[in-house]
Amino acid sequence: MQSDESLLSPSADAISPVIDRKFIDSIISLQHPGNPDLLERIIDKYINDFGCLCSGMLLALDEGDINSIRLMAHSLKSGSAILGLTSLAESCKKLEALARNNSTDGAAELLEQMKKDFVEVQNILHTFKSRNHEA
Amino acid sequence: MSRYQDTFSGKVLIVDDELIVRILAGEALAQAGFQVRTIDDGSQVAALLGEFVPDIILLDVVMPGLDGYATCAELRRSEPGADIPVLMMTGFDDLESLQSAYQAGATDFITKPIHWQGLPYRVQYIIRSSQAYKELKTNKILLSQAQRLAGIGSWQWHLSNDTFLWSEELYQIFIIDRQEDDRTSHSFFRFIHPLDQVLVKSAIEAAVAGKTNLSIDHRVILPTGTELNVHTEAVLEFDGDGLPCKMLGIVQDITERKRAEEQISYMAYYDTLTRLPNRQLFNDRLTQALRRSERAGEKLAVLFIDLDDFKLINDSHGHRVGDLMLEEVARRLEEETRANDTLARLGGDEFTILLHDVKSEENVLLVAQKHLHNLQAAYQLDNKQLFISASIGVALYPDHGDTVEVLVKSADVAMYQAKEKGKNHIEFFTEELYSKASERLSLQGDLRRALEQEEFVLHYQPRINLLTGCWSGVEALVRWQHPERGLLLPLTFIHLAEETGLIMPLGEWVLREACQQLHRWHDEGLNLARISVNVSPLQFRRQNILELVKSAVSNACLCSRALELEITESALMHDMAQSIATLQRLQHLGVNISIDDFGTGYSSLSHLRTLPINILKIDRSFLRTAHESADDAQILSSIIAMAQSLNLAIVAEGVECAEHEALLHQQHCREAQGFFYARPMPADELTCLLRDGNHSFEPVASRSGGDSQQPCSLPAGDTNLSGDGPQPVCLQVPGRPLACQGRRFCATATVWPPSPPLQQKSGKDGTAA
Repeated sequence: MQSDESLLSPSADAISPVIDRKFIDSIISLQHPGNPDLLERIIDKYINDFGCLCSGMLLALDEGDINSIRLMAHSLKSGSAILGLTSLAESCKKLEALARNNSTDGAAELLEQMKKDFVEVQNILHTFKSRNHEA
Repeated sequence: MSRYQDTFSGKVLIVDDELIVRILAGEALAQAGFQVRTIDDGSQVAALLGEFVPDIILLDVVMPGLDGYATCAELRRSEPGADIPVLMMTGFDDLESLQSAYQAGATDFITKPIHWQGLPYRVQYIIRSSQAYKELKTNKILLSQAQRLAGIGSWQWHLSNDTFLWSEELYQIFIIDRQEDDRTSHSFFRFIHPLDQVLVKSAIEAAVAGKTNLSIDHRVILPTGTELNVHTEAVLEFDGDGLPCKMLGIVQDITERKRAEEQISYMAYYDTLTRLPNRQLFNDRLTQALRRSERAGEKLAVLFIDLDDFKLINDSHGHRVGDLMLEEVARRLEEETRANDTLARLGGDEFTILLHDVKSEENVLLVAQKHLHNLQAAYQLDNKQLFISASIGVALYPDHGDTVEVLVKSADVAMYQAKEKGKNHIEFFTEELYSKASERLSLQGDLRRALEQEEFVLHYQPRINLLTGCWSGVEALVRWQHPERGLLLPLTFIHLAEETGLIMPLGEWVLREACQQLHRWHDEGLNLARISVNVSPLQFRRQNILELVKSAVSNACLCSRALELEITESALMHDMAQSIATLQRLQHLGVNISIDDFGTGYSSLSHLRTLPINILKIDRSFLRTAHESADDAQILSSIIAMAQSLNLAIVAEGVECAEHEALLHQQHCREAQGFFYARPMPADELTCLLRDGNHSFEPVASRSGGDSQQPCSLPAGDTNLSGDGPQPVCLQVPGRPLACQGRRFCATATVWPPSPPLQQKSGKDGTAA
């Protein structure tokens, strides 16, 4: 399951606190000639989802719609975990737990942190995308 | 292009609201070889199952709308979904929700993020184990059904701690309340029949001690009190030291089988009609009784009881009434039979009684008389009052034999003698009877040989037309030229031939030979119009008589009109409808049918009207007394008048003297046969007589010039297969008999003035017609 594609294994990525490379590798290993851009599709979908979900959660926070926050946090957590985006997934988990406890205390801060993390993550994801494309 | 060496197959449904999960899980599984469908909403699952029934469902827990638990619970309630394994996909931090997942009916769970490369293995494993579980479940149901059908239950007995476990089926067979089962062997043993406890326990002990299997039939008593017969079969399991540690057993309910076996054994030893012991059981009892009596020095008696003319009851009232009578006879015999004696029905109307500890012949006679007396009383059967008698033969042990075979045979022989003495009679066995019986036996052997060796011959007796004095035909009569005993008449062997079935080939030979002989006479220019042949009842009923007659007649190049078949009335009574059909076919061929021995059987007018027949032959017994008794003469005249009114020809048998002839003439009887005219004679003698009669017969012969033997002094002549008397002595004198017969014939015609037609006959010189 561990990818043996050395092109995609920059040692610097492996130690990044925001991303766990082996999840990306796992997705890459599902690719085959009939479906070479799987990783790109997943990353695009995630980036798109993030934008929607993040603004959705901010809106829900304004409106006090805690259940929507919970569902969206759960959804974003799932996608983040799949791509190995450790810190984002951890934030989503906290947000979801808050919502489950019917609370929004610290939710705005968490969302702010997530946005910051995303900026960094987005760059890395774009790098993976283009590398994958070139490969 | 699969990267997996293993082959995966199966249909997978992925339900997740996350597109990313659907894409990746779907990709992972499709690559492995699964057929994958994905949907994003739990509420769509039910509808999808109508067209796509997956082998496994991957179900996300947290979904907007219907969540994973609700979807799973709903799935379990549906028909196709109940048995589909569900793999719940839960978040890595959702472990607390696992309990909810299992409660909803989930089969297994997998945590997100999913290890994509490992997913196909996980899915395949669940599909396989689920299928194995399904097969196991099906097999268990099948096994359980099979066991229930076969009435089989099983148990396990752990010998070390006396734990005794029952299968579900065993609970059902023994109708056990689970609460009462203390799971020790005690609860098993208390069901075993008290009388079989020791048997079963010692069999188990022996099996454990000898390290062998157990196989035993025994009874159990159910809590309801019902007794069952069961078969127990058990094997031992051994521990590491080779010591028995466990016994595995099955118990099969064999109550029905036992019952069937008993029924079969009953049928093998008892007569189904009367429920009396049959021949087999009687022989067994007699064998045992002989052993005991030998030791104790006691006497035994065997009574052989045969109903007199029982066949008449069957023939005239049908087999149903016949059976009713047999049942009643059995009941009456049983009434007078002591409990320790054995009454049996050997078959048909034959019964036997074994009397134990016989003190004297007088005692036996008294018992037999009592039975005869009881049997004579009127029978009310089917709204009819009927009567019957019996003949009883008695054989004693040790006086008349010391084996089953000899004693029964001796009693049978004695019974036969009782019949001969006029029926309704008791006869004890004697040595003389024995020699008679053994003579019969040796005759039986000879009879078989006689057919092969062609020892049978035919004699012919002319039939006279009383108006013209001409011969209207001849009757063929069978004789046995026995190499040691000389010429034997049918009386001595026909009954035996009927008993042994040899009557069939014998009857066929008689018919063919008679036809051939008539043909030979025709060839010689001797003009005999007709030949009559006796047909035995058995032959008439069993053989294809029609084909036989056709073949005999055509082989002899005869016209069927030249053949007459003589059949006794009782032979026709057996199955009237069948008889009528056969007679009609025979008549259609042109064959003449005569009723033989008329007046000795039923002589039923209604039967005569329905039977397609041509001729009545009046039995000799009527003529014998008619010229002495006015009553008998009246009967004779009535029979003749009746026959005439039915358009039947009449032939009188046994005409032995001029008085007989005169009487017949008076009654306008047209045809007759008897010693007065001619005795039965071999074909060549008859040929000579015919020739002489044609060419050299002297019409007026002096009676005093004839031989000294008077016709009237001759014993009764024979006119059928079984009614023969001894032969006249003059047979033995070559040359004489022809003249003798001719003269006698002629003399009758001349010395009887009152009859003008007969006087005319003298002019024709007895020429054969």
